[in-house]
Amino acid sequence: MSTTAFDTHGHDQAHGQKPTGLVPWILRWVTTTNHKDIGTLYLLFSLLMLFVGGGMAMLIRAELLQPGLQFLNPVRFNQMTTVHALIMVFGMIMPAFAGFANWMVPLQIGAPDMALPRLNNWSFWLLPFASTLLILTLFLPGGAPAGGWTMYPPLVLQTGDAFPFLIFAVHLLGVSSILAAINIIVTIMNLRAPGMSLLKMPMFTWTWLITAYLLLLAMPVLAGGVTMLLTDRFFGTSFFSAAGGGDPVLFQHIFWFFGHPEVYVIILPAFGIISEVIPTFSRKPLFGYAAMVYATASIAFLSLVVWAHHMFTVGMPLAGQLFFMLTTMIIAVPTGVKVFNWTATLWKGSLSFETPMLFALAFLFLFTLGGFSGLMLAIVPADIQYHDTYFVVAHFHYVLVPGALFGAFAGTYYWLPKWTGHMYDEKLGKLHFWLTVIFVNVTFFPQHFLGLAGMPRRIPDYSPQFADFNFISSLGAFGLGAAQLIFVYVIIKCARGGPKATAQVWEGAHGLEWTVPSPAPHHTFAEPPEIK
Amino acid sequence: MTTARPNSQPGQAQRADGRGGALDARIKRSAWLLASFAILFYVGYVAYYFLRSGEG
Repeated sequence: MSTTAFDTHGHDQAHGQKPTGLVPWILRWVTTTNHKDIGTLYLLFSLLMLFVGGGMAMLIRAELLQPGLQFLNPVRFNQMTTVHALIMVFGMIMPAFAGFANWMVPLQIGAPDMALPRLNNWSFWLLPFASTLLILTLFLPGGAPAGGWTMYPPLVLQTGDAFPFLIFAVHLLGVSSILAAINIIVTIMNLRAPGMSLLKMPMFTWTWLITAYLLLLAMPVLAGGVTMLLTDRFFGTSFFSAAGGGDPVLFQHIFWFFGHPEVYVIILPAFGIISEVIPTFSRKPLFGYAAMVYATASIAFLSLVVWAHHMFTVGMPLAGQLFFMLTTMIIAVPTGVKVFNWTATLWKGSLSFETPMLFALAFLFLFTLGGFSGLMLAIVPADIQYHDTYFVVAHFHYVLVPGALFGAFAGTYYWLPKWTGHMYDEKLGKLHFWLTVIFVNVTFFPQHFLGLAGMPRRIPDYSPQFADFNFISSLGAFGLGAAQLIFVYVIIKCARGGPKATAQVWEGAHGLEWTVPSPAPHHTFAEPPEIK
Repeated sequence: MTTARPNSQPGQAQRADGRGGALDARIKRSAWLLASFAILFYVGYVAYYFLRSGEG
């Protein structure tokens, strides 16, 4: 497929010199502009945030283990749900996929690095500061923001000293995402290897190109919305204050114009990973590659015109309800194309079930389940019943955990040998998979029943009739949290040693990233490969 | 192994990837275009609602 040349010094040795001493080691990571280093930083940071946000989830589920107040007062509980969501969305899952993009996009398109390496460094290093600002709010007078990750006014304007921290953190996270998106677009459009036309790009790169455009469209809107919140609070404007002639519902429109595309910002890169994993372990090319590209683009476009389905209970004209209901349902068509094509790729394939494939198959089933409950929520009369119940919590956790997070797990196991040069422990990987897939369902499936029975979300206490399913859900959550320790152990063990990985790693793998040695050298594709 | 840039001068900063000036310029131009779009979208959104609120 290509001819390549590599600088063979290891990727723990920036420019051939291993840093000695703590300060040079820190400086080497703080100042790095290498896409592989920055990818590693993103991935490690998101792993850390998985445990920070996950720890908050454990506290939430411990509180809900039984009726009555156990550990958290109601205000603290609401702070936990708010910060858990913000950390998981902005601090964990988005950086995880940015990490995959940093590592894999240049390798997949035959580029020597990202197009703007110093900007890349800045995009990453904004993140720890923003997340720290957000986490610090838990220790401020008045506590952390408690109005939910949606930050609806006027509730969010009642936040204490934490309010400006929240707004500044969201701005920083937005700037980080926009800079990363610009870098990815510019890299893909300018640094592809000669002969790699757009329709020859790997699916993961395609999904990230579309995601980056989506980020550019959605993120400035969120930034605009939170800036208006800031001026409402401190500079006397009344964008969202009814008393001053403003409209609090305007913020909901602004937030969800960002918030719904955000769901696809999270899920599209996972689609890309699944589109890499399934063909490899089916030993067949992806079925309907062009259709997959067009379906991804259609999903991204449609995600921009469905936002008000989050607001059916606010009240809107019938025409508005019908428009947003139908556009939401239409998203099922390109999503269905993708699910069909993944299934068709499996059909008559020579399948094997290594850990990445197991996560990809679980993704296929469970993400589809989350999609179906989304279709139920798209129906206006039904949504009026389900709105703000645990059914919604079950729905979006099915999309984000066995959807996005399983995509990230599949990608990690798939590319870990390429990153570390060693094969991971397959037995432990499978143990991680089975425990995770069982406990995900034990945690989130009962929440459908709780929601249908009328249990509202964001409450620390509940009626005794909801006790059994909450107990099961909490036990599942503790198991799910504990299972992730295996994931950490597998990664550490793999990074420290293990059977040597070949360049191709997987028998059925195709693409430029599998032509470079494992671990990938610090500099790759200094001379662009030729694609035929 | 990496190869030297064909048109590098002594003392001139070199990129490891051997990228040319025209490509560099195109990359910077595209990045600034995208960044301008994001800034315009952000400022425009706030300004639009600010001006609309003045209409009463």
